[in-house]
Amino acid sequence: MGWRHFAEWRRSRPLWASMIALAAAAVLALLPLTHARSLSLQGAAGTYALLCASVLAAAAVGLVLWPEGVRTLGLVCVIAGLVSYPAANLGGFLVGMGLALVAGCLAFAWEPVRSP
Amino acid sequence: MEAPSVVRRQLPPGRTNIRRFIALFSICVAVALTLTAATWTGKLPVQLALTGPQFKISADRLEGRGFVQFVNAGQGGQATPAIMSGIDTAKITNLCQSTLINTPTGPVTLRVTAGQKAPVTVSKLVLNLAELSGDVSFSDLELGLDASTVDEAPGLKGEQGSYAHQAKRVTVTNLRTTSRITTAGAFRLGGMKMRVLPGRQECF
Repeated sequence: MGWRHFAEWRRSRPLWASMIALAAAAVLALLPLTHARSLSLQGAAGTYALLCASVLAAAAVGLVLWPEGVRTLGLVCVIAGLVSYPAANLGGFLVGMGLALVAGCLAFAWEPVRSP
Repeated sequence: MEAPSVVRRQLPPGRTNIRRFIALFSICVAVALTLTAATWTGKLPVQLALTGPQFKISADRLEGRGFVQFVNAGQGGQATPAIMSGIDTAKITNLCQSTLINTPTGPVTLRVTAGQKAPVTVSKLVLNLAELSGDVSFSDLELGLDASTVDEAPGLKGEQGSYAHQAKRVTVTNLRTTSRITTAGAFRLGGMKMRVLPGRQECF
């Protein structure tokens, strides 16, 4: 369970993509969530932002737990990122959308190293 | 010691295929640019939902149809009652929205402006405000209603027993709000400009 194991584990998964997707989810959720008690009053706009954030957070977890599905999850991140632009405060003022797109593309481009 | 969880499954090491990354990323950038262009021309409505003292909104003029306002007391154990305002549809001239972000190197202002040439249209605008200033005029104002019975802005009602009033039309000039709690709605931001400015350069 030492460092070597961790290094081996992380090399087999798109860990960066997962972290960036999680950051995107945080940015999207932060703007409407700062005062969560008024959430019920924000109507549709707040709900869409949280929906995009949850999809991204779920995909981030999936990237680590289900490495075989990285391509699908990458596309999920990309779609959530693009949807967040009209649905969630211009994609968290472009920052959240940008992070989601980078994460999705990184995950989509992940491939196992072919043994020689 | 081998942990039995799925996390520890043996998998071959992987890496990022840069060419595939660039291919998908350029498609994403193209779609993102199309989306921003659609916002700029006012074709694509965007959902905004903002909370917190760092958000400020100002406008030269707001003309709304279907206005309701009620006291939102005790919602979720809120210490101070807030005033909820809802507008069904509104036209806003010279809209400015600023967000102050504190960074380790000092404050940075993110400013979105729209509606200089043609007014911005908003539907289902909800303002749950601590502060609102401006010159307000109403037409067909009904006072002393119960918050659960207001019907000028469909979908926006308060709790039974709270005070409310509503109007068919509302006009606000020199609108300035600090959205301490909530601002939300679907905005068509024609002529939108988004800028990141160094320091404190808020709308007001």
